[in-house]
Amino acid sequence: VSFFRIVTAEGIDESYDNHVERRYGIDSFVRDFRRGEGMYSKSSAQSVLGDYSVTENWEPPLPVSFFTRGIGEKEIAPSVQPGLVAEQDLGSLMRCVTDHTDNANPAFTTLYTQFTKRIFRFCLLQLRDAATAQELMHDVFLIVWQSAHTYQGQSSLEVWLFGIAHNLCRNARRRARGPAGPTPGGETVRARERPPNNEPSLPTMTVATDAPSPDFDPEGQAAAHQRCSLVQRLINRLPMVQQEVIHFTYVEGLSIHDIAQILGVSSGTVKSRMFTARCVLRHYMQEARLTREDL
Amino acid sequence: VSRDRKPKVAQDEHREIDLLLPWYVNGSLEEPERDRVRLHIQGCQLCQQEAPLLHVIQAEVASERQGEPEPAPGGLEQVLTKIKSQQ
Repeated sequence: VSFFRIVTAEGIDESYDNHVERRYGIDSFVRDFRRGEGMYSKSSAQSVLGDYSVTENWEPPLPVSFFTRGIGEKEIAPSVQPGLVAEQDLGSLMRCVTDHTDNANPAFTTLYTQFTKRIFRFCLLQLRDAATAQELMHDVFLIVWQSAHTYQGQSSLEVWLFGIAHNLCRNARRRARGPAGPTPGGETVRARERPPNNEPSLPTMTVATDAPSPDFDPEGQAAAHQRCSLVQRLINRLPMVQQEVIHFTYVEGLSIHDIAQILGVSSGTVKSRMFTARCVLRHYMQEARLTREDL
Repeated sequence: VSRDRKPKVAQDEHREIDLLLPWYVNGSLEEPERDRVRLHIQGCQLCQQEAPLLHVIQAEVASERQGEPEPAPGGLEQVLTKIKSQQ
């Protein structure tokens, strides 16, 4: 694996420079690249940016995992970080979990360690509240324990896990909406009888609904608003079905096929949701540019 | 073949590639699809503008996630307790 640094201040291609200035302003562009440390895998940068001024064989100051999750190209970076289990070994790990014997706990612990942050991150996106996301993440792993024997290895383990998380989050959000239909933000719901398909009962929790602007917690939302970048704030205005496709694509680096499996929709639907999201985002950006100094 | 035929084919090609751009940017496209997108970008001004923009959005979204809360410690113990209580 080799990385190189794009010297954005001097090395920006003229046409790209113009393009970025028109859309973002050059300061924003440089900041964006610096926030991502301006680092791309060589093939990725060359294919998109063309002949840029670069520093070859550059030592990244961040772990390689930083690039494999969202910025770099997965196929040239190591797929396994130190201390984690390779995808091809996860199947045998699952078989250990299935045993439900004394050997199961270490295997389950490994599985939990490997996926906990990613599952939590997805639950947080869906539910907007760290405590609720944590509770739901626990339920995901509870189901993993109970249903490990149903994992046949037809999809990758991450797809299977995200599929469980997605179903639980969707049900929690539906419960939050209640029989009267969608609410503008979220509401507190009470745990109720055990739902079908062996999902565990959920504790009392506050969840976001499908409304495009989930600002149900004014204080928390205000704090989040301070933290968020302009682009992220615009993304937060999108419907959740589009936000989750953006999440799986840009944060998890998943393929169209994997995302379709997780969401239980066709590949065409995944592409269509992303396309719609991009169109709406473009519109939001044009709007925001008029008032970006105020944001 | 009418004179309008070629532009329509080119438009269809662009539409197909445009739909795939986010996954070209995230590196999950496999050959030969990835090569097809790469070649198209080389000759398409619209895609040459769009792909870097998607890169920036990707970097932005990934960067935002870095600053989000982490799962609280002790989560595994809580899950194992739940499991034991159900056995």
